[in-house]
Amino acid sequence: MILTFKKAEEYTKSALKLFEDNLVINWHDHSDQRWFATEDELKIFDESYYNRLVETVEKFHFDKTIISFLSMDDKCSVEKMKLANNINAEAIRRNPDKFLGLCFVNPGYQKEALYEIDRCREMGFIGLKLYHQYKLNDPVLFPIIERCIELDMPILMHAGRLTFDQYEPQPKLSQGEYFADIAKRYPESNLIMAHITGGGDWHWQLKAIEKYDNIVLDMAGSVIDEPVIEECVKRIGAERVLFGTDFSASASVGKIIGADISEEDKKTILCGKRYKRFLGIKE
Amino acid sequence: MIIDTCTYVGHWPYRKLPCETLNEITEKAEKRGTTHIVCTNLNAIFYIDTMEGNREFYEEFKNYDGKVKVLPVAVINPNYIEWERDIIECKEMGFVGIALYPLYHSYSLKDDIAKKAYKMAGDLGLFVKLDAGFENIRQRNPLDVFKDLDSGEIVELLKSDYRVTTIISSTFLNPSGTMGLTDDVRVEALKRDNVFFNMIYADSYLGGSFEAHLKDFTPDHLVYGTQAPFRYMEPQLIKMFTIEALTDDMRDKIFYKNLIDIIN
Repeated sequence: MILTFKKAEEYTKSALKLFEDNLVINWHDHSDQRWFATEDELKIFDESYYNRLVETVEKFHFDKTIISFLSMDDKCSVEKMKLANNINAEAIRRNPDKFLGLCFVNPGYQKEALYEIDRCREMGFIGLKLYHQYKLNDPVLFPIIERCIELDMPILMHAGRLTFDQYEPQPKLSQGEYFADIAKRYPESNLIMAHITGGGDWHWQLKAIEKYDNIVLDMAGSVIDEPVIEECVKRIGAERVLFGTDFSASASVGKIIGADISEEDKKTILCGKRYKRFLGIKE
Repeated sequence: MIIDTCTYVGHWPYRKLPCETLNEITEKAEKRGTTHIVCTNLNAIFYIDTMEGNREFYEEFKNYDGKVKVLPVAVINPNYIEWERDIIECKEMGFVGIALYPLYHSYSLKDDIAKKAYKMAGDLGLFVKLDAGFENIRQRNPLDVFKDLDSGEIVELLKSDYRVTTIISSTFLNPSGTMGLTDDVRVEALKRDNVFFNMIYADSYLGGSFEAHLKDFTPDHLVYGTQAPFRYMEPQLIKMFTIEALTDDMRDKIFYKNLIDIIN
């Protein structure tokens, strides 16, 4: 058989060496995807999913992947958030060299959420993951943000600005300006605006956070719009961009490889330079 | 040989694209090992008479002498005066396919005019390209259309003439999802050997949709496409060269063999 795609294959394999040869910290993926599971279902670890996660991480040479598991239930119970964090802990326990954890809480249960953050911290989780149960600038979150500041934990917040949400309504989705509110109120907080390419108006999101140095973003997500990575680097600098996948490994790896930015900026994004310290990695 | 079934030149009115000319897009394609591009002029979609855009594109590809072969696709609006004459003129200018944009030209693929255009393309040996949409629906400019091509309309068009080679592009192929094509499009397509889908929005590994498409659509109905310059080309290459389930024979089919007739 005559291979008719040799040049493309060589180009791709050569480009992928960026991941093989450099420190890669993936700041956004998940230890499970049963978002609407019942409490009983959450008592069982999903082996099949976990194996696919490990396969993905190994295939693309991610040195560290920061994982979380959450419930998409708007009224996620205290028990569910504990069970979700237990699943996350189990994934980390199985492969502590590759995985680090973020703690998920429903801020509506404020006292229990604070307890859960402390419990997860004791298990070694390095940060907090919030979903769309509340907008980031809702006062219910203030004590939680304050606890994260106290514990020096970054907050990865589900985010987006949907121009059309008929298919996936998320009325409490956090837009960029809500991050800006919190960045102003808590300049010492470490905020990660999730998946700039997770669907939604990324121009809006980027513009909203541009001025606030304590907000970084992760570039996870299935949207592969060119030139989103170039725009991120141009507007906020590579140090404020973290690599992430969020179920979209080929999309996310491809965006970095394809971006018309310097090799140095790509390495800065891949190693998550600004946030390395949360993993105990020194400069 | 690699055919990219989805590229564009021209201006997109809703956001700035990284390149707009044939020289720019072919340079990117060549660097990444692509040998042929199926290409449409975006301007033609938005001009009141699409032919102004098609003629503009003709001037561009007539003067192009790059290494990457260009397979020009004309934008035809069968809801506009003298569209039959437009198709003939495009064929004479060297266009090898036509693209229909019912959402931008106020008709339905179920309408007789759409079926007539589809049939006429078949009669003239032109393929038909159907772009389900351009931008992710959650982030469209409010001035853009807020739906993608309807699955039922596509099925009806496909049923109207079995001879026409058809490329369905730029959509989620996720029958269980809320966005994208429903499964009846796949079922209809698999009855024929000349309907193809590109997998621009499918992810691999943890997402797993690319791997699922390989099974559900079979490599005989999948083609390569990037949707450049809207999208980076690299995610598509990564899928093609990292998925272990893909054999070289499958890659050949997806990269070019399924579409060998349109090159010839």
